[in-house]
Amino acid sequence: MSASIYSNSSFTDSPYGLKLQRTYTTSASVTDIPAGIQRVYAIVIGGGGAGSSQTTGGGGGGGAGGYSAGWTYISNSVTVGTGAVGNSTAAVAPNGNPSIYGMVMAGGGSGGANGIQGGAGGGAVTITGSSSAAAYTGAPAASFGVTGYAAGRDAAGVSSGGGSGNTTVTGTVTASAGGRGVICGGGGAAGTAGTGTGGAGGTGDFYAGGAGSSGTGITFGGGGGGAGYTSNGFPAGSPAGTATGVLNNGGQGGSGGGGGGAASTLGTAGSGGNGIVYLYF
Amino acid sequence: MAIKYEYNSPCCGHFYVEVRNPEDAQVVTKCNVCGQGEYVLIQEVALEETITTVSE
Repeated sequence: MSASIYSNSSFTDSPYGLKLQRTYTTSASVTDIPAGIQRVYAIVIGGGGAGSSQTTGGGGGGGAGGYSAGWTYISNSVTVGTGAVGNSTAAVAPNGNPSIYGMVMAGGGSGGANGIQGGAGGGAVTITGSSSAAAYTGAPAASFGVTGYAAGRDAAGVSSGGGSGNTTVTGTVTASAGGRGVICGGGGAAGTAGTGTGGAGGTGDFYAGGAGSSGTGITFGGGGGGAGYTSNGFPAGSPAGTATGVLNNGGQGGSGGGGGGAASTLGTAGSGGNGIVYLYF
Repeated sequence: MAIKYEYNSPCCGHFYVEVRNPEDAQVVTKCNVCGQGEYVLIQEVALEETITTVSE
């Protein structure tokens, strides 16, 4: 007798027949799994990477946190990776932190580069740069611009990459949006004496990315935060989730691993959204 | 400090737990079993120990 993995619901990637029993948005001890439950199905999402900032021109958006799901033994602790905190330094931006429950783990998204390049989406381990790492599923790493389970920068994926910024400082300049995905990277930034438009955060399957800002002069052009697994990304000018009125700042990534939007002309880049862990049993 | 929020759904009695920081919004508000009612908070407990986030 054989069974088709395509028509038999027992083989879906979702935890068919199980109930969502626990949700964690912060690290904690886990001591309340009922007796008799020895295996749970975990969905684990890493923290988003921060966007980067540049002295002139625009930085790159942060990559989305990684996404992993599968059966695991019971663990007495859960680690939920925080999103990386964006800053106003012209340097490579920090990575998001990994999330782990039992043997299911997801890396953080990569921070934007010290340059215009956006960060890659997270794989099973946190990566640095614009190429992703292999995913928990075994899906291969992806180079920049390449769609993947964990995508490279400027590309779509389950965890998508951050959009690239633009070095041009005169005339009309538009930066790239974060990649589309389940969890999304932040938008790149534009910093120009002319009309600059920051890239929007990546559009998610469940939530929207934040809008990039647009206007004339170097006080505009921040990138929006990428959509997270549980909330929208924030628009440019909200690097920590609260509007600052400074529109060359990036936007914070949405909760559940969204990547932060980039900043231009030494504005403050958007922070990544925190990760999340779900347990089904 | 992390807080453990315990919920019940009035529709089917599903018991559901979220662990989050107090400033974070509730993630799942509607019963994820039958999709009918809104979860009702029945208890919140401060967790004494919080695991430090691992950084690679």
